[in-house]
Amino acid sequence: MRKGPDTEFVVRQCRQGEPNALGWLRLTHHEALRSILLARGASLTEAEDLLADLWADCVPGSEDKPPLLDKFNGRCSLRGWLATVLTNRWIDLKRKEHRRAQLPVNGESSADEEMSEAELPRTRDDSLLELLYRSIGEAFARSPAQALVVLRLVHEYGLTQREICRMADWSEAKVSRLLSEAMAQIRKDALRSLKTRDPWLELSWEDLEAMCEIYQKGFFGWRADGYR
Amino acid sequence: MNDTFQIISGFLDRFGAEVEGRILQEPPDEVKASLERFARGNLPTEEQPGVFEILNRNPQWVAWLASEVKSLRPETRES
Repeated sequence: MRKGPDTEFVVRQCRQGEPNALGWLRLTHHEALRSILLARGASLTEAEDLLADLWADCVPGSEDKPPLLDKFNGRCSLRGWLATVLTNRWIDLKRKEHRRAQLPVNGESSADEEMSEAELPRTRDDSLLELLYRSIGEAFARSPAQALVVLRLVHEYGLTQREICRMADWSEAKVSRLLSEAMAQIRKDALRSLKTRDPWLELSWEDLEAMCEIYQKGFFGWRADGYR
Repeated sequence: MNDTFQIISGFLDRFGAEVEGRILQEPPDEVKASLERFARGNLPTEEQPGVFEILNRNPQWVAWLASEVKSLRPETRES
């Protein structure tokens, strides 16, 4: 099988405005990214509009608007990174539409409506990051202390289940059950929390996990919609 | 499951607003004493929930407990 050009090389070429590089990028990723957006709940029109903006942002624009790909640090997959940028932009789009739809007929929002939006605490200026953080954070907050501590001991610090058994005088069956049930509950609670906040967003646990990883590796000081 | 918990827990730690000031803190002596007993399997069952609560509120101390448990591992023989 013929190997395509190196991603790092293509990204560098795109940043320099090389049209063939952008063409290759679109050819390689457009369909997959569209499928991802559709799977996450976007309509075909929404997906194509978002993708059109994305590709336009990948090339140098004006001096005060560097290409989107300047923010890609190569520490995660480019496709995953682009999918995260797109998802974030789509969330912002849907939320704006939702707010517009809730405006009174005369088009003016009441002071109460403006206040409720402004009151939302936003410690992280990135819709998707905030959504993931709150959803997972709430799932952790609902987990029993015992479950979280044992999860940390085993998965962060590498203790064996046998060592947990000896420490707490538990059976291996109990430890195993505790770990699997705790993780299953965290998944369920996090996904439910996501759905409550943005019901139009269809994310699987695998999506959520992948985006958490991309946030940790792929964004340094940048929001995941490509802006500071 | 191994990577999953590490990924989401690492994500919360990375983007949490309360990260500063928590890292590298050692537990106070009275907590250390409980954790040492726990590590050795000598903590009474009725005291365990309290220790789990303390560790959940201070997740950086979980490392200390883990270190105590690991210190009890038999040394591997050099081949």
